[in-house]
Amino acid sequence: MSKSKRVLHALMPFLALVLAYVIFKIIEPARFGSPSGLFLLLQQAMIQSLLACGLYFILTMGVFDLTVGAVAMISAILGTMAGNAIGWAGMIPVSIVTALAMSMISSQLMIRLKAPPMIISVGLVLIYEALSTKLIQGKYSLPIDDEFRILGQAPWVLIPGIVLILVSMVLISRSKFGLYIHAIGSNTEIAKNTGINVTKYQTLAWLFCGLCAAIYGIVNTCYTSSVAYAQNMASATSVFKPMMACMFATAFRKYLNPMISVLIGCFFLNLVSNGLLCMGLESSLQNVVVGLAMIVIVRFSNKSRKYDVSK
Amino acid sequence: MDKTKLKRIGTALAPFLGLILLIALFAILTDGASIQLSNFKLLINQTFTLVLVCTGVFGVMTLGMMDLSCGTVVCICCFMVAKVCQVNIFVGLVTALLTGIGMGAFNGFTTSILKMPSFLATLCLQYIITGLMTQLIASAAVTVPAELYFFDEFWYKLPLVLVLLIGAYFLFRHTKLGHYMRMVGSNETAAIFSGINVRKIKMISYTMAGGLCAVSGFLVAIRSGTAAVTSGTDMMFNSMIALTLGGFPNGGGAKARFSAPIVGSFMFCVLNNGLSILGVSSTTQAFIKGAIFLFMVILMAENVKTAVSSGIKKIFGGKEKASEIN
Amino acid sequence: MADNSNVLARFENMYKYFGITHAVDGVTLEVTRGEIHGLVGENGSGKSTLLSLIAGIRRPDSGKMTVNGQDYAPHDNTQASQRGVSMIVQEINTLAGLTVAENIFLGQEHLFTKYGFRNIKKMNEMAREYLNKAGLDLIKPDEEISHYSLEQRKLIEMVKASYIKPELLMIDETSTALSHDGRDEMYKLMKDTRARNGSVLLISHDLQEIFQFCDRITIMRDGRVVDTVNAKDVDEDKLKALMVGRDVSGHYYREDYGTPISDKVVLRTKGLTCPGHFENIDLELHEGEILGLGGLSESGMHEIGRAIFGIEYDVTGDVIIGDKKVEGIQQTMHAGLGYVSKNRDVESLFAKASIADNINVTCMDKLSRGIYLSPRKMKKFADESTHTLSVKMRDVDQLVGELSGGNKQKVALTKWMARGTKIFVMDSPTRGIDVAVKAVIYDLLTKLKDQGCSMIVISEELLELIGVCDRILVTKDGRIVDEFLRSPDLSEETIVKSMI
Repeated sequence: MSKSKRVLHALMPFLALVLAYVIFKIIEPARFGSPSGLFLLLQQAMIQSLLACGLYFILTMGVFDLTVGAVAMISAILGTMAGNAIGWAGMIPVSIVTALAMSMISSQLMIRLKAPPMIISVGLVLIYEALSTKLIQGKYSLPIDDEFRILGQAPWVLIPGIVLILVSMVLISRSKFGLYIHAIGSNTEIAKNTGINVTKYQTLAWLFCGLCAAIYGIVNTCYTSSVAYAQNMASATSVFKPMMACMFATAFRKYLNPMISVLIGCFFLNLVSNGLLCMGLESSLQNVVVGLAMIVIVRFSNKSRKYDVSK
Repeated sequence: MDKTKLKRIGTALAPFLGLILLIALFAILTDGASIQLSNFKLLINQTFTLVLVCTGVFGVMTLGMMDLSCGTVVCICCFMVAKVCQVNIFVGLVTALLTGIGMGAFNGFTTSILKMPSFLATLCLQYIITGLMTQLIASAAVTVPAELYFFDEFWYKLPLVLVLLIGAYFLFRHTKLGHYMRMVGSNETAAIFSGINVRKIKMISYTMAGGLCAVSGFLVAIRSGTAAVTSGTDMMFNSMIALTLGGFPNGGGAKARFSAPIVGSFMFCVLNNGLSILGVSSTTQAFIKGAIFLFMVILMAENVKTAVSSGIKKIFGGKEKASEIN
Repeated sequence: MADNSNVLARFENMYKYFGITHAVDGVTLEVTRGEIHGLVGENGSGKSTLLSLIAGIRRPDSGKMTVNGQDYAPHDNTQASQRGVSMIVQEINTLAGLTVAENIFLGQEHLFTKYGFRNIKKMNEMAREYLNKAGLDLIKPDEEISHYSLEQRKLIEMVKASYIKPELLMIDETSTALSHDGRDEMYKLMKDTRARNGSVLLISHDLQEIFQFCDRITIMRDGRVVDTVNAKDVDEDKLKALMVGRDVSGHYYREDYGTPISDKVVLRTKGLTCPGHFENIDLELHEGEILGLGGLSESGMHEIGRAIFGIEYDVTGDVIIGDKKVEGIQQTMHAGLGYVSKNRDVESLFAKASIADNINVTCMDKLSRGIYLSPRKMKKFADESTHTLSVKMRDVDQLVGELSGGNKQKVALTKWMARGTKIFVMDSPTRGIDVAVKAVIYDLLTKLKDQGCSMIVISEELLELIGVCDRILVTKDGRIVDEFLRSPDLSEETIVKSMI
């Protein structure tokens, strides 16, 4: 593929962003697209990218783990409690350790048990969501102390995102770990025959995803100044947008480092979401758009043929 | 009677034994409060709504698929009953039924024609409906027209539920559909190679599940008198828990028995009812139920089952050897 | 005879079983330095399995391997590479989504990795060097591998197998997938290896290729070594004779000859084509005929069977049953066709379901009265059906997964017979089955023939086809190249000549 063609393909995500901006600006020039508004959307995209970066590692291996949202939520709840009690020294270790422990549980159960991984995933979500309600003890959400809210404000809110994206970029494209993740996702059999320890790398990917979920949980809590419980798979559906950003990143993998695509994807989704909001489409009705979009995206990334089995 | 026949009868009876044990357990723990006649009637009323949804989910899960949207389908049908019956009762009921069937057909479409993984496809529908409901019901709930309340009588609901369950049983055990469903769940590739129209089976199963959710939505509507955003939404988890309690095999398949949703729903409601009488908070209840579910899933995983049975053989095998020496 | 100091690798008493099948059944093989050693044999002779044991992809059930006098027992092909053994296979063995350089060095990242991070520039430079040496100047190391054609990917695999300068290079049936240029590359690789005093183990069905390059040739049959000969001491005919020539032990095939076949055509294909598998297949199956389809495993015969049943993708052309054109499983089954799959555990049988369920699954229409099915009637029907082939079971509720291979195949056949199938397509009906059950199945074929059923039997076992079929069609490279009629003089040698 010629250099110029490659550059063109690499620019397409950016073009999509510009296109979305232009379209919504034309439709709602007054309400949409102010510089401060855009900056806010960028901040939100940065925060969502924290989760999406980690999610990319497990999605690349063909794993859908519904518990990721719950891991972010519970580690944020426990981190907030520790933080409110002890301070930064409490919040960060507690949330990271919680997330890693939960990811370890999810990963080992889903890898080693000979039972449908999705059923295990749903069962874990059930327990985790019940746990979240229990931890928050009757209130709707758990507020975080004011001293932490600075992490939720610019420019500090952008820093974890930038750092994690850079780290993930290097990991995915330059480390042996990233290479093996792609190898396992491409053809597990060949990877195994080459001597790659599939279980080890799947577990590592899950743990990394857990770490990202913890960071996402903390930063998001600081940004919204509280963390809420979830019920009825709400923790799973909250991961839809980052998931779509990851699928978007997979499609452009040949041309652009996936972590950059992930950021662009999150930004794009937020832009569209905000645009629709300005047009009067309430956020709850946006569920319909997001749900349908997810169906369309998965349909187009799916290569199932007539007699292939999909459960 | 030889060992295998004994094993088979044991497996068939196990859920019933479990139910009896559970009833006995709570009878003891609540000092007999749970087996009072008034409580029993309450219990059976609670079972009605769950068992219909559970049977629908049972069909889908026998195929090896999942339906994460059933709770929200109950919700939207409940809403349809409340809202549209205010205009015209008959039209309202028909609309609710068609909504349920339509939602089910949508699931069938995304899973069998678009070939999306079922958990994701049904989760998307759940997400879409949740958004719609949040929007349409806003903050206040919608009231159900009072004309419908008369139906909320045990002796009206019982025949309705029984007819549906008997119909479902008939379909499952005495028609091609039921047998094909078990085979598709057992080995979908072999099912295709045996000439089964897998697409059609999946479509029918999901549509029926949607229809059953619609009826359940109707029952929820007339019992609670309102349609709220949370109406019936916990039924998805509850159905899955009920199925595992009823001995449903993890991935579905040929070993799925119709006793699973029936006995399982009962067991779940006994558990639910018992815990409520004991004053356990709803959050702790959710946690306990989730833990039981996960425990049962782990117990029924293939590698755990083989490990457990070889462990049991070791224990009993050892005993036999000892008696031989004597 | 080679003297011991010149022995590069020795494989002693190698055994590998897959269930009841003795894939490798006591093989001892010695490879001397600086030789190109050919390995020939029919389908199922065990050549590929043996190579997979040496390459570390499979573990032997017993046996001892040494390379350069030291014990050798690799667990994966990276460990094999570290001892200087590499293999090139026929299937795609590179990973899409990774670059050319990443594929070449997969498993060997330590060459340019520090603290877990890869020096990509160095990796690409090293890849560039090796690609150039192999004459592949046009292939870019940083390009994603799926940009390149299958042939180019195969050439890249060759670079992967050779850059470590292997002492033992193994090639399994690779030349058939390559063009002229690609083959030249492969031959160059083989000669270079020999020039370095390394050795090559070459599996090929192309006997001309074998004679062109090999110093010694080992012939395998039924998992055992028949003989190892010097290439100059034999010719093509002698080689083919060594490959076949079993004793026809046990008269469990048909004994009749000259039985007339009806003129009535029950199944016909016209111009049946499937890109990459077979092309322009025109065949006719007569009523009461047992038609055999034989050839090498990749000759397309298995795919023809699937296409006739209606389950192969991208098929053009017609399948006509009776006088109606049929397309897809629903239609072929409705017209009375049944398909007994080669891969019975995945495609024919439901392991966790009962024998009754397995048999009844194709008979539901027959068993139902309107919409109603009686489970009791179904169980009785299944039970009666098992008598035809005497399925050895506890009872009809036993899970099929608990049965032996032979009995599983009996169930697979029963499910089609119980349905009243008139036209059978059977793919490898006696694969992995012991002699006793094979006899029962051959007997069944005769019985079905007497009842007026017609059968297409696809098999990699020539003796079976010779013993059982009225007519045999030979496939090669996706085409039907020859036809043989049933005759007591028909021998394996005759058919092998057209097949290879």
